[in-house]
Amino acid sequence: MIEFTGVSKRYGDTVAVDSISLRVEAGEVCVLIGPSGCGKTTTLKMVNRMLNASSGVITIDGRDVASLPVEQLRRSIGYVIQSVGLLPHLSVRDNIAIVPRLNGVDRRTRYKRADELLDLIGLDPAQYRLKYPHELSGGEAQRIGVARALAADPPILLMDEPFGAVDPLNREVLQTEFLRLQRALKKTVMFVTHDLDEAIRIADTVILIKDGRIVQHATPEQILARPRDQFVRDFVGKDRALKRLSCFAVRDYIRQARQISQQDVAAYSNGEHDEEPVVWVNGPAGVLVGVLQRITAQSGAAALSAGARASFRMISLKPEDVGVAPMSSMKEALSRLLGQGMRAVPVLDERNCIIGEVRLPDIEELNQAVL
Amino acid sequence: MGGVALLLPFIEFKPNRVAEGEAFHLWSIGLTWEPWLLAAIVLTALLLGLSGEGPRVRAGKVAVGIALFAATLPAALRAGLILVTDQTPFGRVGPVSGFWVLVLATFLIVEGSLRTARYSPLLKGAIRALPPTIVILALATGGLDSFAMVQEYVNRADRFSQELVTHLRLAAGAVLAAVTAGVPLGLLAWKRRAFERPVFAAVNTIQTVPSLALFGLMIAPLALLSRQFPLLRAMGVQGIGTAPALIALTLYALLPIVRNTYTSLSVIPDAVIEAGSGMGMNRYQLLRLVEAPLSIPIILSGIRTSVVQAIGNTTVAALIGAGGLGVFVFQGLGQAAPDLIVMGVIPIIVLAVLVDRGLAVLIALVTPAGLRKDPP
Ligand SMILES: Nc1ncnc2c1ncn2[C@@H]1O[C@H](COP(=O)(O)OP(=O)(O)OP(=O)(O)O)[C@@H](O)[C@H]1O
Ligand SMILES: [Mg+2]
Repeated sequence: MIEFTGVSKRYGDTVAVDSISLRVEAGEVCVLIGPSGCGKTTTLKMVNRMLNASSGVITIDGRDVASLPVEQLRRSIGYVIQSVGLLPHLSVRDNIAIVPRLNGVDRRTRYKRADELLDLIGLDPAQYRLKYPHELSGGEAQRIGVARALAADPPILLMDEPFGAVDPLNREVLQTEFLRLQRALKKTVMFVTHDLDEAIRIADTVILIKDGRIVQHATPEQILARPRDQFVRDFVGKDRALKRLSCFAVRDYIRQARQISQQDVAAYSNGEHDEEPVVWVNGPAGVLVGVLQRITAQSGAAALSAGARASFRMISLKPEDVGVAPMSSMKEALSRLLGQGMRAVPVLDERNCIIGEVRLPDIEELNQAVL
Repeated sequence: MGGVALLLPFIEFKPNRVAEGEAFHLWSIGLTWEPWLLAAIVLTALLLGLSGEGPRVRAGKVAVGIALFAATLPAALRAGLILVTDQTPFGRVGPVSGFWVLVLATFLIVEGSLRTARYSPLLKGAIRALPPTIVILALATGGLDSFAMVQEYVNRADRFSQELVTHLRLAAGAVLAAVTAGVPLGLLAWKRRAFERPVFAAVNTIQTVPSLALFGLMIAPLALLSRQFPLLRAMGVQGIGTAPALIALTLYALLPIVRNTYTSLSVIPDAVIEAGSGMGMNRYQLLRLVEAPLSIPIILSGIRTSVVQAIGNTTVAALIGAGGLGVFVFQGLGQAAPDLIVMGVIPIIVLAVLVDRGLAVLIALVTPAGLRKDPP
């Protein structure tokens, strides 16, 4: 647990950080976000005393960082800087193993550890361990930077725009990777970014900073739903309702889906059906193949009100084009809904069999919380 | 070029030290098979030059280059033996244009091939050391005794080794002093912005003073000091001699060392330093694990420049009575004896080249693999 109490940092007359108090619980990912120059990096660097606070107290698990020997403090905190800063004269494995080396771990053990970490971050040790930094792509270097921070298994990670220098596509890959790691490792993480989507994606809590002060400290969902003031409203943007949907996972909103198998389409079409549910059609092995669509003899509304019997026909669907996975976000579900012009999207397992569906009214209800 | 060389005068004969020389062509000396061997090697070199690229061709070129040198020298030796006979006991021979062009061709072929070759630094060093080794062998076996330079040497063997040692001591002492002062000065200029300008202004200014003038400038103040402080005089400090020479040489050697020390630190990215200390390195570990490995190769190449410069500049030290190989050069100038000048100059060049090559190999060895442009 990291706790700031009334912490300020002044450079002469300029106040970079102005009396900040905050708390990051153990195992939590806390994202610092805000406009350039607002004091994010300064806040982060005071934790491992790359900068010393001008006033106030920072504690880690109740112990004042100012009272700890600075080298020991830093070795117990993983630190990922924006520009990566791999040591150019050392191989990848020597870079990763640098903190264990400082801690006096013998060579064999620390090289084994470096291989483990390469595995962990998804790079093949046999291929990468002897490379030098100038032989790595930007994304690979960023990953090695993260591996290096994790090498001594520190309980705390400080990450200053760790994925800043990679293209959006690779950044998403790195974020996914990070979430997977974090689920397994449960580190206490302070993470600086100025990419709101990144914050929404990975944060347990978000701290929005402006001019060295905390404007709002809340979960991403709360910040998007209830911006504290006009500054936050502007910062998160007009599409915050949409963005907020990415805070919710499909798996929490699955409803039972009506489904029939392909042989039964004709029989169903001849039956009595008053409401208009979405009916999914399964092919062989239960794989989604289409959806039923009502067709009427005369044109739409008149025919319906006359109580004419509906008949149906199947429209073929490609499961990978319409379905979402349980782990997907509600934003993705909405986007699929809009794309298909339907009132529900099928939730599919890995074999493209229907687990259930997500319905438009549920999404609308979710959005009622947005003020 | 090799072809031209075969047609140029190859060797010169003088009945005695100051007489006018007579030039001979390779073909007119009375040599039997040597000219033909040389011609064959030159032809091979031409053919290789036309046969494109590739590691085998390159290895062939290196071999031919060395062979050319190995054949040129004995040809000159035999020519000497033929020309200097019992009738001309004071006769001496000296190589002229044809010989030198052949040597130059050797150099160009070998260097040109080695430059792009992906050999290890040690192998390259060994290949480059071959021609000098051949010369030393020739000297040791007495084969070059009829050469004018060698005769000048034989007449002054004791004096020569004495001045050689003096020369080496002056140059080495100056560089040592320059390293001792220059590295800290470079560090200071880097660490404290306030010192950057004055330090560089000073060392740059020194560098612009012509070396002769700098030696001259030392005389007056040191003579004064020596007169004022008996202790200094007791230590041998005078207006002329070793002390002013050492000081002037040291001042000269300073610039490359200060400049490279400064540069070596300024090119280390801030992020690398931040990462190092952010991971918990203390001051000493940062120096040992980050700053030193990154900066030492650059500082060493500054020292390399300094040493080569100092070996050359030390020649001038002879003018203010500090001795060194310059003694022969200036004696030779005074007596209008070109061979004596050459005898002084050649060891200076050889020394400079040897030290330069040696340090190049050392630098290649201490440059971490991650920083090499073409890893082996
Ligand atoms: N060494 C320094 N001296 C004076 N002012 C400084 C110094 N370092 C930072 N500042 C100021 O402190 C403020 C906060 O800087 P900080 O680096 O924390 O911003 P940031 O939020 O990380 O910005 P960015 O998103 O651009 O990285 C800035 O206004 C900056 O100008
Ligand atoms: Mg920053």
